[in-house]
Amino acid sequence: MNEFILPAILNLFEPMNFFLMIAGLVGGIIVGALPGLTATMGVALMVPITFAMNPISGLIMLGAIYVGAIYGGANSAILICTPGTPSSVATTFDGWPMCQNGKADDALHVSLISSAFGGIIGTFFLLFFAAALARFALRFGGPENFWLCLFGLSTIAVMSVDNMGKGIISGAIGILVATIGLDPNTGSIRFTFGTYSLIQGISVIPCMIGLFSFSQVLYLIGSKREYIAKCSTSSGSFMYVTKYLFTKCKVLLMRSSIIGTIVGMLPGAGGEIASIITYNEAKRWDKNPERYGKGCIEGVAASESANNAVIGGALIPMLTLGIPGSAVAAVILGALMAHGIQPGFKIFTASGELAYTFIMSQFLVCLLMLPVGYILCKFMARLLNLQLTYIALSIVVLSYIGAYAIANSIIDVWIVVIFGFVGYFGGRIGMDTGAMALGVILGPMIEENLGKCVDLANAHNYGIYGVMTEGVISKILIFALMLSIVTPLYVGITRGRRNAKKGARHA
Amino acid sequence: MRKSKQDFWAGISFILIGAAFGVQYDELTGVSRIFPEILISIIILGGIYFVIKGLVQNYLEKKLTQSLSSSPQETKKSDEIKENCCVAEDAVESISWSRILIISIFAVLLVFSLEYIGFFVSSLAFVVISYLFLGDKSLQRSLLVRSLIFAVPFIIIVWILFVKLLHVPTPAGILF
Repeated sequence: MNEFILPAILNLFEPMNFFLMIAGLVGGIIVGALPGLTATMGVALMVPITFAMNPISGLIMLGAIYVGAIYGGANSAILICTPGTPSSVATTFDGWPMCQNGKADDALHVSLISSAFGGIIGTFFLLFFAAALARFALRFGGPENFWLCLFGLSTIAVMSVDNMGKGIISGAIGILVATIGLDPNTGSIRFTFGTYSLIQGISVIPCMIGLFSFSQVLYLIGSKREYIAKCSTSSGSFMYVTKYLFTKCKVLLMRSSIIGTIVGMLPGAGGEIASIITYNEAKRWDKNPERYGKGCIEGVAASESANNAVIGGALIPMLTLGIPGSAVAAVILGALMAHGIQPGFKIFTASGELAYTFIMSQFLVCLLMLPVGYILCKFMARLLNLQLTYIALSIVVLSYIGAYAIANSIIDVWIVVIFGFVGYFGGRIGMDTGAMALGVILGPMIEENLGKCVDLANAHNYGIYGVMTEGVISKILIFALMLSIVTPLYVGITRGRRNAKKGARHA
Repeated sequence: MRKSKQDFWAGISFILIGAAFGVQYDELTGVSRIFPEILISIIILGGIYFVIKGLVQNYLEKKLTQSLSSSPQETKKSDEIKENCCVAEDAVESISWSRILIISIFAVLLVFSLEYIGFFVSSLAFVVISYLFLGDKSLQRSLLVRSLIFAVPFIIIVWILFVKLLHVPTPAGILF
């Protein structure tokens, strides 16, 4: 390894590579910030361009786009409550309230610093623990993934402590919506409501755009306000946020980044699951969990550090085993193979210079993200000075083009509208759109892995219970799931008793 | 909206959603059926629970309000209870349903027109016309001028960004 580090660092400072990192970052941030355009799309669009470059430069640029796009999603999540990428869903929970409280610049800076921090931690694990972690990721089969998804789903209990019943049913509706289309296990067609286009199922992105973006348009237009929020950019915001994060959120950032890296390694589990789990954990371990969802820095920091840490995690199995940990990693894997580079443990010896240049470029990209993102934040925050009506109408147009771009299908635009109405009117009667979104994201994975468990049970004659509870990882996840469900219930009961005591004292 | 009403209508919505999916799952057999069946059962049972909860709460609220308002000194307490039964956001911010109706109608019309007229012309028309209805009428410059000043550059930027730079296909229609 050591013999490759110095040439790798020297490669990074070649003017062309340095330029590609900055260009990739800016491009990635713009793609990520546009609703509907995902990191996968951004990276895939640029793969053909890399064929004209040497493999090292091409990989550096793709890596920079990946990092930029995952961070960029937070900008729209914070400013217009529209997660630019599915990884930023959890960022809306506190980022949007921060924006509404006139702290948009703080929220943008929190997401920037946390993303850079998460990215660096993820890359650190990629550099030093790739082999060991890849072997660990291989131990995740159907039962482990099933319990992991259920653990992610248990966030509902934490998200809606005061409204758990409706939260659970909203989550169930989300999972039910995710069953529309082809059954992942048997291939039979379900719940198409007589519409042929629904055979492909409900895409996650249009659904998220509808639930979080279109519903916000209705909310904003109906609110009679002139501006979304007062945009008061303060010059000391960046320093204040930096100090706050590295004094009060050290543990949270580290925990979220490690969870993000681990989740990123698991094939199929991406930034959306990691950010939801870490948000859940941040709220659970906080002394005042009530402040989450009302615009607290910790909520944004947890989600954003995790989704950028996922990048390092997702690249671990991709580089060491040739198994991509995320859709973007799969595209980068394709680009690698197109350049004639075979992933696997040998990549660190046979193509050591390339592998280590790529890894080291991820460190530098995360550091460069700070100045590049800082400048872009200044422009993005000014969007709030536009009249609310302009912003609302722009969101509709961007939502439609973003949804259409997923599969060139008008049905995805209809999905935006329908879920927009569900999100707005559902919110009026206490339905939990966050829980519904969780259901839509995790539903297919839950069903698919449940199917795998059933097949395993049939094949080995263990019985479904034996399959589901076999192995240490499953047991740990079951324990974590139980803890996740019981903790909010316990907190709710103790809070109720405390309030009752206070009431009695006042009386 | 009162919490009891919220629960009641949430319950009704859950039952309707469950029923909409439920009428279709007769076509399903074997493993494909089990997972949705469990979910539909949870949703419908939850719906029934919230309908009953809403009705019971509504009955108790009415009863409590009647008993409290019967004595004048308790009227204040009665008002407090009414306030507690309402959702906070309603109290903070009034909602303009007419504006919501306008944007909803135009947003739905935009989807219809995308495939026939084309994305960019439809979107331009959507932004301009919607702004004529929803824009701030108190400002000096006319609504049409203000809407055009915003809409034309915005649509051009979207076109450059999505079509020219990112090569994202858009519904073409008969125009553009």
